[in-house]
Amino acid sequence: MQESDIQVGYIHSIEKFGTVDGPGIRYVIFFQGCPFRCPYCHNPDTWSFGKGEPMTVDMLMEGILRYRKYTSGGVTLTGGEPLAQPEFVLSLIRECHRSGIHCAIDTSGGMPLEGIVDIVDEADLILMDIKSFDASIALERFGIDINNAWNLLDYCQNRSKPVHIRHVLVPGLTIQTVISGGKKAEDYDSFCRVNERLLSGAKRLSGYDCIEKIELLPFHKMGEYKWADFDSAYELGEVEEPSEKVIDWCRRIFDT
Amino acid sequence: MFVTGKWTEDIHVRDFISRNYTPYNGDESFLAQPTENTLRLWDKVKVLKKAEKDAGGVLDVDASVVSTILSHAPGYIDKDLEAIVGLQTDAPLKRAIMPFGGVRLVKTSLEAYGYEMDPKVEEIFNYRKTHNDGVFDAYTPEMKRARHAGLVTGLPDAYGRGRIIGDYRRVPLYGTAFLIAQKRKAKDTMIPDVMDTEQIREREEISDQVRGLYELTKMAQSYGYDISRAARSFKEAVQWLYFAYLGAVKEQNGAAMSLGRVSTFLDIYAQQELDEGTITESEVQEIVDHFIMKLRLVRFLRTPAYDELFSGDPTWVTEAIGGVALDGRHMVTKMSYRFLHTLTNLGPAPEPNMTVLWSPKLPEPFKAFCARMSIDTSSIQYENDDLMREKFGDDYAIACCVSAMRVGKQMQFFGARANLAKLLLYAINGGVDEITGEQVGPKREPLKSGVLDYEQVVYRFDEMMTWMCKLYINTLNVIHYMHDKYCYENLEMALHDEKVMRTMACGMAGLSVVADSLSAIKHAKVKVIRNAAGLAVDFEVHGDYPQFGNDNPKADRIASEVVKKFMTELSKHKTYRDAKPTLSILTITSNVVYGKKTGSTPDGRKAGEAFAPGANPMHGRDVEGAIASMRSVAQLPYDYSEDGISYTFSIVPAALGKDEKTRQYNLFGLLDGYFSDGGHHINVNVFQRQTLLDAMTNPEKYPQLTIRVSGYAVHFVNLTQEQQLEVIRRTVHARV
Repeated sequence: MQESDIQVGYIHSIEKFGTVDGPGIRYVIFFQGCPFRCPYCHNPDTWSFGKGEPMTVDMLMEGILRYRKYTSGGVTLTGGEPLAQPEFVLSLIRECHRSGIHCAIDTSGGMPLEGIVDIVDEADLILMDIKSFDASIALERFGIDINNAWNLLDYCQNRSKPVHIRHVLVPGLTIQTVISGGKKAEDYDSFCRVNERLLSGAKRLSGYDCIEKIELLPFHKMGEYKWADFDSAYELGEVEEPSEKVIDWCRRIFDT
Repeated sequence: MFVTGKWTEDIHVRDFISRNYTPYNGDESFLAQPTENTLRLWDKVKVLKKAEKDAGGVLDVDASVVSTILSHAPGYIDKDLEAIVGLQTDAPLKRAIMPFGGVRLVKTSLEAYGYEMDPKVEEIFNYRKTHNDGVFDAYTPEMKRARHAGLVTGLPDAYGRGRIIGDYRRVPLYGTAFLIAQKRKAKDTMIPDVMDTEQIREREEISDQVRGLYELTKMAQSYGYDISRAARSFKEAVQWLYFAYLGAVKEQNGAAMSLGRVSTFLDIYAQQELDEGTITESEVQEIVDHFIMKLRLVRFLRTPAYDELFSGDPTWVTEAIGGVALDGRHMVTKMSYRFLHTLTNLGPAPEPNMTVLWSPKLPEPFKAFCARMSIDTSSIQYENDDLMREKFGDDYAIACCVSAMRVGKQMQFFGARANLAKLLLYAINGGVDEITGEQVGPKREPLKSGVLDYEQVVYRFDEMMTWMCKLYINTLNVIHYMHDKYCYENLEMALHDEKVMRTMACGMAGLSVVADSLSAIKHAKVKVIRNAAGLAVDFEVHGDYPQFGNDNPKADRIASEVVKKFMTELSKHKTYRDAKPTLSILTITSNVVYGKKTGSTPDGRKAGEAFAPGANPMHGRDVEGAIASMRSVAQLPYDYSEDGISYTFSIVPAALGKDEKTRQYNLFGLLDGYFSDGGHHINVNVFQRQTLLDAMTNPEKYPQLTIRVSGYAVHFVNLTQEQQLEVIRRTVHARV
């Protein structure tokens, strides 16, 4: 094989004991590089392309197989945005499948469907973070065309591809906790009145049979320290983490 | 009635279990809450335990009566409430003296807690020799030096050796009359042509065993029970079995007095009555709860020096639960659940030392239940049934922490452990102890170079190991000869076959220190700092080196090689009663004391710093995460360390997953992974470091906070402060 034929992926890091990204204990590969800029990103150090450790499919497979007995859940490809390195990701999933290993893709849902269809077909599970149910917020604050996410979901629906949805609850960004007059919402009904987009989003999601699970992730500032090393300012410094009450209301919206 | 078989004619407990037990595949939903009586009785025990703690750890001692099976009148906590009766002395938590191991040690222990030995007792030992006297009559000066320097240490030369498990099930299954008759029959056949040492000893021992069984029968009589006949109900079976165990802990203050593998055996009795409708689940659980309560009250009088070594007043009442039978059926029964359920009904506790014999083939609901109990209580240890079944069959139990043995058919001569980190320093210093400056090992030219040379160090280390292994085995030969002679376990051995398999159970401490030291010498530059006398007292490590615990073969292979070499050397020597030498990698909590007595080591560890416990990687050096750390330990060769490889694992709850169900599922996935990778033993702790720090400041808030240390569990607040700090310094796997 010519040197130029060897596929190389750019890897930020590997977690050999992943318990929060998909079912079971998983070998989690963080890809380097992401075209989007989510203000609450935990891993802004995975953003820039052209960094990360170049690795071949074989190199990754060696580690995956080595930990196979422990990571009975399988492998999760996350990042960064793994779908920004589509050819490499496809080869890696195919190789995993040759060994019977379950593969989940964790995506922002921001990549256009055309370039990633083969990967979605091949993957066993899609973990998708729906950034915002408001198209303009998605575009302005995340840099994401939210239609790409809905297209991906439609496609998964048609192909009966299992999907786990995640949605981060950020007061002032994805949810509203303040009602008219600058007061905090004190009951479920008043909370619903100012979160109509969330309600309609939840309703829309309920129409998809392919969705097995919706995880609501309350915003927290765990990743804030990492932002100190970056040029971009951490926009969410002033944002409060949502209260238990608010989290419960959101759960109720998605449960019903 | 029970299904009959080989067990009906001869003593064959395994056959009885195999023909009669009912594997249980369901979940924990059948379990019963504690009864009113249980709660009232447990409240009384809690008051007693609080009083014991307030009194400085010892509530009361009977300093005037030498403990034997028959020494004390019956004792009760509250006769009207107790479903299962029997105490070591005439009152709960009153400790007895057992001076046959060594009278000086008992005197020291008594004095430490403000008691004085009754002159009548002291008088006896003007005429009667103890095990300890015998050992020191025979020790060589070299043995004494190695012992004094802490090179071979924790030796059972002044106290009961323990690690012998009587097959306590034989008493309920057969009754003592049948057991006595069988022993007599065996003795009648043991009349050889030539009466030599071994034959004479065996005949004398059988007589002692029969004596033990007689005394046990009388002891039970004093409580109003006739155990000469077999048990006829579940309650009798538990009571008979407990009496047998009680007799053993009245006779012997052994380093570990393990229970064996009784739960599935007892389930047969309970299941039969449940099927007949003569007992309810709640009544069964009450009997179990009361039995476990009794096991939690077992106490021995020990010296402060012993407590420093084995912190938290452990007795190692180890019970082996689960496992898979040779015919492929799993051995989980409802009783396996009921035993573990006592951790809920009575709250978490270190004793009995609940040990789950794990196999990926165990039923899923049971695995999930174990995982839940571990997450909630940190009170369970797990051992690899697939690995042990191959060597020990399906009726083995665990003595102490990790030592597997066939119940009633095998015993061990407990040999504590050798400090391998110190031995490595002897290799560098030509046999001179780095702390005392004394010549302990054979005199060799000390290494002179500024930077340590790997080949040279390895050569010297091998040479020192050869010397030490011979000395170590010979020392153990002396100890066990004398223990048999002066402190024989009449009752425990009465509950064994006449012909037993014996192992000489050696041990090592400081494996990860040695592996990292050798790796540093090989892969980095280690500069020696010598004192005025030319003794290497410190080391400077220049550069990085692969460390044990990161799934890096460069370091892990060194650790495995050290284990193999040590075991190979031990095997070369003749042992007392032809015991088979074995090895454990286990420190219990003694890793702190061994560290204290060991100078700086070439891995960068400073003089006095604690070793890692058992086979653990050094604190904070296993930076590649939980699974990499497990893999490094799992690759250590069990074939060369058959007496067990102890690994203590701590993790924060959140690292196991987001919700309770996920955490259970992931914990049992992790255990399946570790054990199918060849790991032998694991202590599972699930806690936040913050909780431990809070418990140090506010101990009264955490009377039952239990954590697994190495091979056993303790109430955290009962550890010495030094031990507590060491536990807190250990790697707690977390992912943020």
